[in-house]
Amino acid sequence: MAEPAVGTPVETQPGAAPPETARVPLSASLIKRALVGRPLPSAAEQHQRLGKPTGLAVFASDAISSTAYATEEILLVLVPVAGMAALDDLIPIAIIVSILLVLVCSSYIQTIHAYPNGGGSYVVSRENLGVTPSLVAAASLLVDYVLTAAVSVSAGVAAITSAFPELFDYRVEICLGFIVLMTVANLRGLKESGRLFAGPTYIYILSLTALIGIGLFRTMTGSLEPMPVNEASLEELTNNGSLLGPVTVLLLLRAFSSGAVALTGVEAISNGVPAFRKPESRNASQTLVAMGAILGTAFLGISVLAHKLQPTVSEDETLLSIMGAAVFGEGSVPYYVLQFSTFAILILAANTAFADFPRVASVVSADGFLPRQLSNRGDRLVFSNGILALGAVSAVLVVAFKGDTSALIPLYAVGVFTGFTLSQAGMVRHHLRLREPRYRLRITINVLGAIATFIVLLVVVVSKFTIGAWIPAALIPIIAVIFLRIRKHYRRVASSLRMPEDYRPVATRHTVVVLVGSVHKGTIDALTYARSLRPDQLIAVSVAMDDAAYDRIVSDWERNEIDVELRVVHSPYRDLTNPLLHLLDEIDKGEPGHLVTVVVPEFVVNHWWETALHNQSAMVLRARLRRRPNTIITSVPLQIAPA
Amino acid sequence: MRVSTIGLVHNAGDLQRGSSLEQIDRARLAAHFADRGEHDLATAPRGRVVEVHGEVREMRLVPGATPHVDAIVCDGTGEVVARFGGRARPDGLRPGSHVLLLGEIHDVDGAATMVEPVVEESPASLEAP
Repeated sequence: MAEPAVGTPVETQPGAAPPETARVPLSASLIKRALVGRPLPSAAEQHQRLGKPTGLAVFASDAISSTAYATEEILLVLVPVAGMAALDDLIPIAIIVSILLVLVCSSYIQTIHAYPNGGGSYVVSRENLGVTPSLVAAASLLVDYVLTAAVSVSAGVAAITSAFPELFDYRVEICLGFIVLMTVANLRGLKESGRLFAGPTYIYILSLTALIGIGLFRTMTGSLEPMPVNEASLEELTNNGSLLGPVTVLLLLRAFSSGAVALTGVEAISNGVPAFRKPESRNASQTLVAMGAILGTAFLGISVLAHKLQPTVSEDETLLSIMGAAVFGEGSVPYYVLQFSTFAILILAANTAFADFPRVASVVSADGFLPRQLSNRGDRLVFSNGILALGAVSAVLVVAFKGDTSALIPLYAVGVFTGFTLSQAGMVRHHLRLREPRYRLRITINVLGAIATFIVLLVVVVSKFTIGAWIPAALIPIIAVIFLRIRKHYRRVASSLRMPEDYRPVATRHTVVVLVGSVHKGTIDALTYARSLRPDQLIAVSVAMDDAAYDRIVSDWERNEIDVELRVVHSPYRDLTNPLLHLLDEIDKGEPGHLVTVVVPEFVVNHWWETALHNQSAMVLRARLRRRPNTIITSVPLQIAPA
Repeated sequence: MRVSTIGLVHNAGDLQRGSSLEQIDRARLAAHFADRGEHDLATAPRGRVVEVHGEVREMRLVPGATPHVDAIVCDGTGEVVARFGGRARPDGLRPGSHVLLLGEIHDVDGAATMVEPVVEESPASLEAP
């Protein structure tokens, strides 16, 4: 018989010796401790919760980062058609987006109070709209967070490589470095990652406040004149004027939907309510109000400043950079602080994804639509598997798109606005069901919000379908179907495990089969263990590949006077598994109460690479035996002394 | 190109007989031992001396109060247990060897069994299977 496999999963390990087995994972354990810190007891969960300032940094960085590009997105839609006159349409669109922001924030404040256990759009949809819409909401959110992580990091790194072109060739490595940093920081705990990343978030908010405040003050006092038109940029955008034409309703809708990207990330707090200190709902809703105020003020402020300064948007320089140079002076310290904090906030938007993806995944997983492992908290009381999954998937996206994820940006809004629409529609049903005080007003807010976000969703899907919006449109239903398949599996397992009232397991006979490759210390240990099970029948089985193997095993057996029946099976095709399975079939003859325990002696080596030096055929055997009814597989480990 | 030329199957019969190793092995033995001796193992009569051929599929060394050695012999149509008292292993019996057994077949615990049969090397083993 072939030597037993080593390093394969061990079902049971009787007689395992702690000193040797403990030595193997020690180095891995040290690395883990160094990276993620000491494990936290469950009782420390309360202490890991976030206060409002840290909560704002963690959950609002995604939303606040959209101020870095939302106004520019509106102008990039309008300017090619309307030229500099587009700036006249900017303020009305910004006001409408801000009203939408108020509606959506109001809706999520209600959600936070109604569903304080988090889960946001998914839970609202589940409770009010049914399973399918809730799965669409969950898929939208999860897709959105994966894209947020990949796109944010790529966008931030793109900003860095623009400033330092010599780093361009290393952009993928830099992106992966940031993803690893985010993953590790989040594995250390929400509080630690929040503290680590709070600084850049607040510096960005202060820089933006300074830009808007000083910029508006200077334009009002006349110390800063509107900027001259950058003819080169304008000609590039309008394709030498060939694109200029009338401003249509569809164009305005497209501009509005592009500006509505400012809303991305607004839902984040509602997903992570339990991460806040008690009273969770109150703290979360106050943080949401603060976030909405900062986001709305900054977005409107930038739009008003742009209207006053009349900058010419460019594909080569960001709007914030153009206006920052005008207000602070190009090359000044505040200008560089604004630029670097913008890079930082773009990257840190990914941190919101790292905070929320694992939470949403855990709620969905707890409902049986995702693998159960995603609902387990790790050493540091965070949902480690969700964090690792997000890190891995976003890293794959970054590598696949070679760090240029601009192609993924159109995908963003589909998931976000699907979530918004479902959430608000769900809240309408919620209010209709409960009819709490002022429910009519709340319904009005939610209906308006649902319609507006649905319009944005339609505009995004229609206008950007061919440039990528089809991907989430196709992907989200597929993910929803996968969710259903996962739950079907879990239900089937539960059904198999369900115990009828009169259930009495029947064990009429027990045969223990010890697999023997050759006679050694491990074989004798395995036989001793097998005897201790007091079976009705004990058999040692060896598979002989040739005459020499047969002679060796039999003579060793006889010389050691082993008082156990030995069966040596011929294997004409040099196969271990099939002759054994055939033998087991003969032994139990399919009797329902006949238990067969297969004992496999197993070497435990000291280094991972040593496992490759041993035959892995027992691993295949184990995999086959697991499917065999009434069959128990037991490994008897033999620790190999270190050199 | 025939499928067999790329080593997937030998012929259409292989597909008809099934593709598990056990089925393939049974077919191999049945083809090899066809028309050897008076009877095949499936039809060999009980209670009178018969000559059967087969391949030793398994050897059992059974200790205890009445130690014995069993050789499980198979010809693709059925199998028979050749039982020998004591601990000594009869010459020529080892897993994979082709043997001719001469003796009476009786049912013992539901298994066709020959007690202390005469064992010779099967002439069939001289030919390539």
